[in-house]
Amino acid sequence: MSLYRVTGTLPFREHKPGTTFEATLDKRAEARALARGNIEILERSTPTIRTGSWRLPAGWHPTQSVQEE
Amino acid sequence: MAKRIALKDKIEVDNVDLSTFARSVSFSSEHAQVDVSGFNATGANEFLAGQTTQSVTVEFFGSYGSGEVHHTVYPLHRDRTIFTFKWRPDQTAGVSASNPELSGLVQALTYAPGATRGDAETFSVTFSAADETGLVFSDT
Repeated sequence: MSLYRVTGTLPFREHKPGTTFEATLDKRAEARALARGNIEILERSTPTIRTGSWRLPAGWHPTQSVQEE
Repeated sequence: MAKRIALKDKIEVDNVDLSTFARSVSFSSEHAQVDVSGFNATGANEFLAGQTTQSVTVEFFGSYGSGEVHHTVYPLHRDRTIFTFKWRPDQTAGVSASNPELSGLVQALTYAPGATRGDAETFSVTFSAADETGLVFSDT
């Protein structure tokens, strides 16, 4: 998911010029839109899992195999 | 269902809204008619539906500004790119059963701009369906 601004004079997807939107664009489609000047990237976010921001369901142990009978 | 005057159609090519540069749109979806006729008493033919060929033709006004028709469509044609295409009757309303959207992955196999002295420059671009999903109408 990245944050974009519509920079051209034409709407991009459902977004009017000058507005911002969050989306996960296909990399090649994004490159073409950037090259044409339709959009600019304001913020590139990379999905990450921070230590301590998650936990397993009750009874699950990280070393247990899912296939274990 | 009410009849409609086509005025507010939305045409989106590779995510760019080119509606203001388009003045007509025509979708075609055709199944090949495969003859599977055998000998029979009446001599009538029997057919099955075969391969499906789909395309949508848009008549654009010639426009050569940054991000406009030529700047958008020509590189897609030149580079044999597969990209998204969308059309729905009313750009001011969301997709619904009464405002269905045609969409799919297409290629611009032909690109043939031209001009006549004194006339508004217009030309047609045919977008051909490019994958097994084809061009489909959805109402959600």
